[in-house]
Amino acid sequence: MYDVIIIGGGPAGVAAGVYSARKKLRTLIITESFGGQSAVAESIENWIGAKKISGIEFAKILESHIKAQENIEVKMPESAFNIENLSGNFKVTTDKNNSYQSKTLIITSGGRRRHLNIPGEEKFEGKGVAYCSTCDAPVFKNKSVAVIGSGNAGLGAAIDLAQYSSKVYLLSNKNSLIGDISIQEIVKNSDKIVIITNADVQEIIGNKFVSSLKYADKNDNQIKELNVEGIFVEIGSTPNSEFIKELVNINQKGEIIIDHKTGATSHPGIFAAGFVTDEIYKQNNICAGGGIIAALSAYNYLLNL
Amino acid sequence: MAKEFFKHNSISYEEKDVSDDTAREEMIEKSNQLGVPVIDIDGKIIVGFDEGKLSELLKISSK
Repeated sequence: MYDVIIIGGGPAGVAAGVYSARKKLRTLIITESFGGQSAVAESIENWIGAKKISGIEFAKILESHIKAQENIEVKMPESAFNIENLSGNFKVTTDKNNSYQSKTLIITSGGRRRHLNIPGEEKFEGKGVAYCSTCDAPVFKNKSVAVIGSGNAGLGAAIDLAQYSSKVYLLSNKNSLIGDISIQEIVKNSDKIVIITNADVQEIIGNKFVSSLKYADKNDNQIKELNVEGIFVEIGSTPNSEFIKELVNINQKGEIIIDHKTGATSHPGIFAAGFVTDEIYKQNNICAGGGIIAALSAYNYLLNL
Repeated sequence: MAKEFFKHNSISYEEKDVSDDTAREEMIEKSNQLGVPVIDIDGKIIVGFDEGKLSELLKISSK
């Protein structure tokens, strides 16, 4: 029986883990990997204390800080998929068919990339459809690619890809681009990037690999086709709360609703932090802060049990 | 991450950059897809960095 089980090894989970371990609580952290969504980032410049750090470095320092603590066990790669309340304690079942019990839970399961949910997307994942331009841009050297999404992630992906691809189509289903103006300027000034607004992507087409996409042009209601070999989907992220939503209150976006003073969820003994919650500002530093609040609240909860 | 893993476990490897056409072709031929990394260990193909599988194939005991 653990005192605390933490689900997810991004900055929120790691912060919770370090604090929980240092309070001498018997702690387990279950995660697919360390680092969270930023682990694939090319460069992080706003993690307080580090002028510039790569996503890989970030993941490494988080992992090593956890492993330097006593009182904490790590199960990785492992993923929690079911949580049960067993007379006040919690039983966590994972994809490795293991189960672990704990008096409290800290949910820091983060988020995953949103999918378009259109025909061809799943079929061609890894065969032209991609979600990480940092990882996959070089594969598309001298090819035509499309980026779907015009927030900062989409704009950033278009810029990354323009270094390799012969042409980058940036598609947005809105009237205009939505990312930061300064990044928009870079995109607009690139002669490799073609911006297409009011485009609703309908279908991804190909044989063994992606060869084109079809979109509805909202300006003239015509269906148009673009010959591309790579399609990068950058339409935001969705919280990983499916495995816990029966036990805690979540909002319309699927975020776990927490008391922002304590990190408590609607269920006694379950705390949450970071991207998976209704925290307004989804930033690594804030996720870490939230993880610490959750750990200290779990500690106080245990004292009063 | 794969390169870190190999370095940490003193495994020598040959790295091929897929922005090079020949390497890209080889990747497609061996794995039938475009995601990276693709790791070939004596003919066994692994797509993505899977520490568990790599440890198993390279007979590395997990820490």
